[in-house]
Amino acid sequence: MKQHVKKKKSPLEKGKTVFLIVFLTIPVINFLVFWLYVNFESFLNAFRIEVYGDVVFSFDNWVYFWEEISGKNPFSTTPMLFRNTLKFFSLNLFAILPLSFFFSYFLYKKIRFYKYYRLIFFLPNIISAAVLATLYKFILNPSLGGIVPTIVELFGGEPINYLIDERYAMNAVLVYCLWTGFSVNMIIFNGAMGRVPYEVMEAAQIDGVGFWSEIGRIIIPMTWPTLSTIIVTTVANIFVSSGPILLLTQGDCDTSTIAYWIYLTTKNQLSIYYPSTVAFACTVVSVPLVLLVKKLVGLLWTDVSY
Amino acid sequence: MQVKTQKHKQNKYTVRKKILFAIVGVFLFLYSLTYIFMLGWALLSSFRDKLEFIREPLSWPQQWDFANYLDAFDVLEVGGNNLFAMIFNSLWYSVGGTFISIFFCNVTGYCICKYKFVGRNAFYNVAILIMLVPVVGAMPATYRLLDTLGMVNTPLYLLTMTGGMGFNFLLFYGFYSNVSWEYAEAVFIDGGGHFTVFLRVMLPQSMPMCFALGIVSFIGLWNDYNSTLLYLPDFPTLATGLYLFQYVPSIRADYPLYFAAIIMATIPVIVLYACFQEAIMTNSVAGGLKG
Repeated sequence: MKQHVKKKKSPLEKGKTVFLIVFLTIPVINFLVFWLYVNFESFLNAFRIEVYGDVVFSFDNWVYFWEEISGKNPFSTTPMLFRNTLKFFSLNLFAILPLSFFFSYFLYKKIRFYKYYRLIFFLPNIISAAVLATLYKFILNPSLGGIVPTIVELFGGEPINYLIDERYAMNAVLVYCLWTGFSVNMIIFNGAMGRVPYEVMEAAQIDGVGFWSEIGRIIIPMTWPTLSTIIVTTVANIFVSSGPILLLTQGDCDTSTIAYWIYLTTKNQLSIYYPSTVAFACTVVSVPLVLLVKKLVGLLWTDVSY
Repeated sequence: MQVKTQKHKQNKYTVRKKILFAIVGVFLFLYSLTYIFMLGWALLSSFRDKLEFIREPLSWPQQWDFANYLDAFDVLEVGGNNLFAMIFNSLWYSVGGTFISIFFCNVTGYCICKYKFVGRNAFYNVAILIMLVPVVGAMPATYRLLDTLGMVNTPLYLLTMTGGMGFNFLLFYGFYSNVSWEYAEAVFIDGGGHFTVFLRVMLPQSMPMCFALGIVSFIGLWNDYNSTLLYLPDFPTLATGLYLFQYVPSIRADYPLYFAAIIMATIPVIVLYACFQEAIMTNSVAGGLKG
């Protein structure tokens, strides 16, 4: 007759279970509450409206959203929010990222004073954005003797405060982003380039590889995991990053973005349902975009082991 | 003849490369000067009298006045919180947040890396997914939830940092991948359990990494103004205060005093950066990614 022998758990196995429960319970609860529940609630809010104090299911906010972005409402600010958001995104992806990579190559090649540049260019990552934005506002302010309007006046121009002039405010914010945006990426790329084996570079130099060939055929492929990650995360943040709007203009002079508008709605405790609708629409657009970009960057170069 | 042509081409290339390096060098130098100028101007202005500043904002201080640094503690105030209160808030927010987030990332990185259990792969994949999936607009729902739970405007807000996911999780995961499990086996043979392995063997080995990541995390939280403005309005930190000071009428009339506060808020992170520059830079790089 067969006897069923129940396998007893060893004390070590039991200890392992207790250990995992003790240390993983809080992170799992955190994920379930602050990510899963919150995002599920955000999803539901996209299909809700408040009617005389009661919250009901409705597509009204989607209809309103369509009217806002399709131009039916001539006074709508939603197209402006999307336009500004795309401006920030384009600046990050097509200007800051490639320029950071290009300049970090020179740090990697140990251009004169490269150690000093590494120190200085990392400062925006160390110093509070509130400090940098405040100083930027000062240098643009003609009533405080800001150096920028002073220089403009020297060249015969009109000394204006660009941040409070509707014609130039958005561009002034973009310039600030460009000014402070190089720092982190330059250091990240510099670190990645530093891991390219010296033998590879030496062999390339012996073969007489040119400047642009070195960048295009050696540096970019060998740093592709880092570069592609930065590209994917930049695309992922298309609707999330709001730039320094809160610090520089508080959304005045048509400088607001989607993310800043959502932040303001939350801060002022206004209705959350329409912002949730807009945010959900942005998520629906950006998720497949991120997956597509991830797929594309994976096709361009294969990972190199070294 | 071919050798001459090749040499000529090489020389031409070297000259072009030198010109390019020179142009980029000049640009980088001028770009770096913008930061030096801004911070230098703020530092110099912090030693000036407010009337002197209004008359000649860009000139060298005629009299070096250190009183602004002392007056800042009396005058600068937002919502009943003076600079001392803001420094205290910055400290508990930065230190508490750093400790909690680093500890939980360390723990989850270790558990997911070293143990096989149901849900292990799901946890890892979710950690990657959270970093890649761009969820927009969770802020209103998050705020409502935290408000309902009574976590807005209290230090309990730090509990939101117990997730143990994100980039630091991946760094710790990568770290523990390279730590041999033989240490644990030796502890088991000696009669120790899993808690002993982690607390007395693995955790101490991760201390250098915890320290390096902790510095980066501390600086990030010290400079965080967005979250504190929204979730801790009655506990303004230095970063929040610097933003809010601009809108206080009495402070708007005394910019040197404001600059003194800016310099004082910046000094701790500059000192940390100066002391641990390599650790900060190394751990700010997209860690774990070769090339």
